[in-house]
Amino acid sequence: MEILYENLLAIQWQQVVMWVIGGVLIYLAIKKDMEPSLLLPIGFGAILVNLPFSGAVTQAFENGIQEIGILNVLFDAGIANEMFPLLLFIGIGAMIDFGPLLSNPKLLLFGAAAQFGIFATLSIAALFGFDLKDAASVAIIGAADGPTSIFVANYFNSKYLGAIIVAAYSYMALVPIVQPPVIRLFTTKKERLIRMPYHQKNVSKFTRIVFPIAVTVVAGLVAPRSVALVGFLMFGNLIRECGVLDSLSETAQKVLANLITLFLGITVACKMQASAFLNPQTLLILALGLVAFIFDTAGGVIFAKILNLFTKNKINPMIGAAGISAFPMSARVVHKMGLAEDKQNFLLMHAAGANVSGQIASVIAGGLILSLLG
Amino acid sequence: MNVSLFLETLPIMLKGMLGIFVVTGVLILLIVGLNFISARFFPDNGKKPQ
Repeated sequence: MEILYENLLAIQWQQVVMWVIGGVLIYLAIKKDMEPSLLLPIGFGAILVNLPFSGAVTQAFENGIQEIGILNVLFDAGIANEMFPLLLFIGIGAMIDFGPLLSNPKLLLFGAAAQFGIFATLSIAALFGFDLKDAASVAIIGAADGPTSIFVANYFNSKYLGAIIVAAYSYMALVPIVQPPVIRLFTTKKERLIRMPYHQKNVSKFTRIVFPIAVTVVAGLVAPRSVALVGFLMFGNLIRECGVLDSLSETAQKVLANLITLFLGITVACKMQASAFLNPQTLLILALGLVAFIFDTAGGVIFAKILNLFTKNKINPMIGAAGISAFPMSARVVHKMGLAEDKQNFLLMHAAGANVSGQIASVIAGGLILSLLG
Repeated sequence: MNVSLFLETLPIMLKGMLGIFVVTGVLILLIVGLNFISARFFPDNGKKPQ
């Protein structure tokens, strides 16, 4: 009984706040269907690690005894050495069809332009007092890509890892809310009405197989530090496209991706202990994450508008916004906005091409950040 | 507010965006090349013509 009182009396108000945050994340996952596979484990984990003397995380007692928590063990085994995000990339690579991009390679440019948010946020975070490595870790939220965010923030050993991951996954889930107003702000109705006919081109198996290998080589030569990220993504894609490893491809897409996602979400929570999470920087990181997504979207849209100055076949600038990596939400958002303006304006395939470009470009951007600041 | 660090990041932003566009340009050329080779040598969707 005495122990029970001791535990109850040890509850701090900061921990209660974290329970509420965990509850909100679980609510958003279940009720609003926002990235449930990650927000639910993260939300539950936030409650789990903020119970007084939680055995799920490492506890140091006054008598010098240290009890190792399973979440810290998982963190050291899977995140500190970047294994979980990389393994998840195999699954993501196996899920992605690069067909729309391979049939219209200039869509890659939108993926590149929509990484502007990363570098703009790097500067803004530096302005707000983050040191360069923490600023880069925060800025990578703009990659709109969870594994890349974890990889880069962890590489820089950022103390804000928990907040960065929560921000990255939350904003990815909020793409349908964040992007439309920004797209409307930077486009006219006339531009949003631009139709882009889609001519389906057959992409050969040869191209589909050589592409992931060649991208790995190119990215590895330009930014060697990104080669693990790019390589695992492209390895997953090669398994998908080779045509002789269907069962492995299916396993990577479903079992592997689900298993890693499960562990990733709950493990990340060990960085959500109240003492590390509840500080003004967390709020600032959440705000900067939003800034990154806004600049990403604006960068893609403005780049498309610039291209329109020089091209005969006009591009609907909304396609540029799909260049962020949040796949496939961003492509769906652009497609729906196109249909809302004109019921005969089908932008899905173009947007999907820009969206998978964003996946590649975000990984390259992550690699460049590591090369420039690592 | 750390204005000097902000100014320090501007060249990084420039190098980063330039780097992404350079890599993207290379990848576009690569895809165009792959599509060309594929159309020239593997017209039957990857299978060598009989």
